[in-house]
Amino acid sequence: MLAVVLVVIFVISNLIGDPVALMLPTEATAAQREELAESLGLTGSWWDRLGAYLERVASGTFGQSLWQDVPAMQLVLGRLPVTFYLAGVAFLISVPTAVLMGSIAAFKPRSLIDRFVNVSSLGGVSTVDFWAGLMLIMIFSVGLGWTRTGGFGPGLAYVILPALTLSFRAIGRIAQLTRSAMLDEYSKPYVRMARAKGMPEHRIFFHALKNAAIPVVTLSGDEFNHLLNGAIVVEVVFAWPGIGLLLLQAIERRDLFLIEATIAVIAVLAIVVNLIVDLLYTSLNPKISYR
Amino acid sequence: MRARSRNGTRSVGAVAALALLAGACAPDAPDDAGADDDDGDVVADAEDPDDADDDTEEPDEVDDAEETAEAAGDDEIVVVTAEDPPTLEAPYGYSATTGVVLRNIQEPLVGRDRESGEFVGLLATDWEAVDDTTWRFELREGIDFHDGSPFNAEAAAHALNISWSEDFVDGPLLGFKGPDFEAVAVDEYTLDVELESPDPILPNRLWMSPIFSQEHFEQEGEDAWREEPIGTGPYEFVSWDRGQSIEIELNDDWWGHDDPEAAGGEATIERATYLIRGDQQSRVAAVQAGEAHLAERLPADQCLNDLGDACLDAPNIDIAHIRIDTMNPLLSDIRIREAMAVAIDREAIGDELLPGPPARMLVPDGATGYNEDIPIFDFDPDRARELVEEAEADGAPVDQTINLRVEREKFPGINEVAQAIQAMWQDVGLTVDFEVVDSALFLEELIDPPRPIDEDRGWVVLHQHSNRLADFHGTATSWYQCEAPISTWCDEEFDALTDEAGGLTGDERHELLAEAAMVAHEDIPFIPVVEMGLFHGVSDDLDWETRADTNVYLKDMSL
Repeated sequence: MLAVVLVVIFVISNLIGDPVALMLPTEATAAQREELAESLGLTGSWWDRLGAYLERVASGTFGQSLWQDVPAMQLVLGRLPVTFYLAGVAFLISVPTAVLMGSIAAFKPRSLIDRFVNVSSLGGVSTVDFWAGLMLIMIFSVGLGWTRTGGFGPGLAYVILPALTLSFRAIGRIAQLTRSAMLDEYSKPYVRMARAKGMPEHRIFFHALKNAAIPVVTLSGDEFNHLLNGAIVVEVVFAWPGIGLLLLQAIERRDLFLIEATIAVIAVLAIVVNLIVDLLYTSLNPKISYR
Repeated sequence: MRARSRNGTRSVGAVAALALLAGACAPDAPDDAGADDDDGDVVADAEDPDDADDDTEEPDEVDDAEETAEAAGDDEIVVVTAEDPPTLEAPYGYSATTGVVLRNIQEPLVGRDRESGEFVGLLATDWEAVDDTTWRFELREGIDFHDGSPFNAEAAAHALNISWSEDFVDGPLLGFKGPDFEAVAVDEYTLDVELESPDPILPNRLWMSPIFSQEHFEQEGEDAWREEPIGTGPYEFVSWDRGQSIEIELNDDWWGHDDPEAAGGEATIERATYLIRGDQQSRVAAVQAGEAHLAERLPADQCLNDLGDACLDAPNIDIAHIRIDTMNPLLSDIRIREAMAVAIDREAIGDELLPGPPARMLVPDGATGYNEDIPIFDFDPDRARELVEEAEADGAPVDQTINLRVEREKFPGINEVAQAIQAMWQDVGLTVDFEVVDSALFLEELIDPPRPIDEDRGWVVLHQHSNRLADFHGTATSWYQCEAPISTWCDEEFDALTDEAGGLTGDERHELLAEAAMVAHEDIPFIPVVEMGLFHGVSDDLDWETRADTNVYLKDMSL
């Protein structure tokens, strides 16, 4: 976290160019730009700026957003539930779908359905978000009129297309891993033993699934992180007011303080999700414990 | 075995529960700054709660804001626009792209004729120059602001003095600022603007400066002024969900209902929702899907190809042009600059890449100083080759690389236009390097770079210029004159002519500026390319009479 604070945020946010040049109109003079830069604390040496930055971090607000003139952290936290909502729906679509696809494929390897799952999961991983999003808009919003082209609101009509777009990659990756993990389990002696003893196939399936769950949960956590943090393109295409869109808007406006606050929240989210995944391991496998 | 199985099921369930926790309950719309009333200063303490509270209610839910064209009533309009205004305060919000909402709420003293673009009275009925440094405005009587306070000379003076003060003029108004002035109320409906030095086009400048309620500003404070505009216009502010949407509704008491001719339009649409959609294709899709009546400022190719008849080609004032580092050893040779000018196939660019006619100057036809005698450079690659060879024979460093630079995404299709021009110049024997530069760095180098500019830089910049005041003097002082911040050229005769024109009005001003424009044309510090088109997506049920000044007013529309 300290590394994020010191390196990623400060360095990257200072690589995006001079915000003052963008905030003032083309005709502004050098003196006017200098004056604005001073008022924003964007002058002085590298160390001075780092000091000012740490001061903003320590305050917890990350300073006033240059764009909206309110505490930057307040803006980010305001967008967070909307991003969680989208990520949550995408997660609900992707994990059950992917686990089902991977399990079925593993149940009958090299069958037609296995090949279908392989091809479609590879397609999902390879699909470019903005292209998939626009195609879904053209089909379901423009063509069929079932869903909204963008924006945020109650009901599935708003969330379903961005969630579907986001879930393609997660479905592809998790389905492939589930398939290989399940194949691995099916080849183990305890499954052969269970079959020899006449255990019903559905019970064998659940045993194998549980044992295959650890890598799947790890990857699901990684994908949930991606759904939370990697939704910038999808949020822009669908005008979804989450932190991804906020980050892009902050970058477009060279709103340094808002960029810093957004990246900090994204970093914390990644840490928290990884922690939750680690804790889930103990529930999945009692042999794993944290002392 | 059974117990372990249950344990495993619980684990998978826990993962799903996490997702459920996040996704089961749809949250409220993000509560950004515009909707923030934690301290109550936006919506509370209104002097007249009956009126003001109704008008300034917080935009609680996006389901209100996300009314669609289909769901909206017959007299409600949905507009999708690319940019969220940085603020709704009068001096900053009145630009072409960010003032699209504000112009319907607040009105200036001086308006523009829809067809000719001439400056005409709006909140002022008449004006005259009392002496060299004083302009007197007679104001329209019997008008109230949306908060019920009266519009009079005192309110107008207050709004002008605030908008053009040092505190606020650093915004979009900076490019339109003339000499300092103070506005004073002479009587209830007579306003004097007293200038430090003569400014013959002050009334034109005031078109940029809408009048807001003095009472609202003083009682509610600057935060409310920035987020909850109060004016005299045909529409009243309802709500603003930052980065998402803005809603306004018809002002039933608007003075223009009784006199549409003087008001320059007839407001009939009851309510308007502006949806902010940064993605171009998403704006196009919103019109295609019937979610929006109007998608503002679309890229030409997407608008023409995807929307067909629903794409409206509106008048525009933006000129695509090329600025040349004339201090560079190669580019200082007039033959090279002329070769670059005649090597560009403007017809092809205007037909295929950037729809619009070839440009003559950096200001459009009708602007003060527009000189019809200036010839548009003909496309003549043979002549260009001759000029390059001639210059080379005389020792010009023709091998030197010309650095063609553009600002990232300055306008749709800019990269393709630049690449076409690069190929055209290379075809006549020049060496051209093309690079897209990030906005911040580009602006640092374009605007007032450290002087003197490095001779070796050799920048040739493809850019866009919009002269909103339709007066070449502003372009001259910002872009052409020796001391102009954006200039890379110096000509004493040009400066003398434009300085003299700055103190004149009418035909004299026009003639001198036109003469100066000819001087510039002959030395070619800038190469005008095309007059850029302006494209909007418009649904079948929207009737809209566009304006010469390019502003988008709801009073020009009906459903």
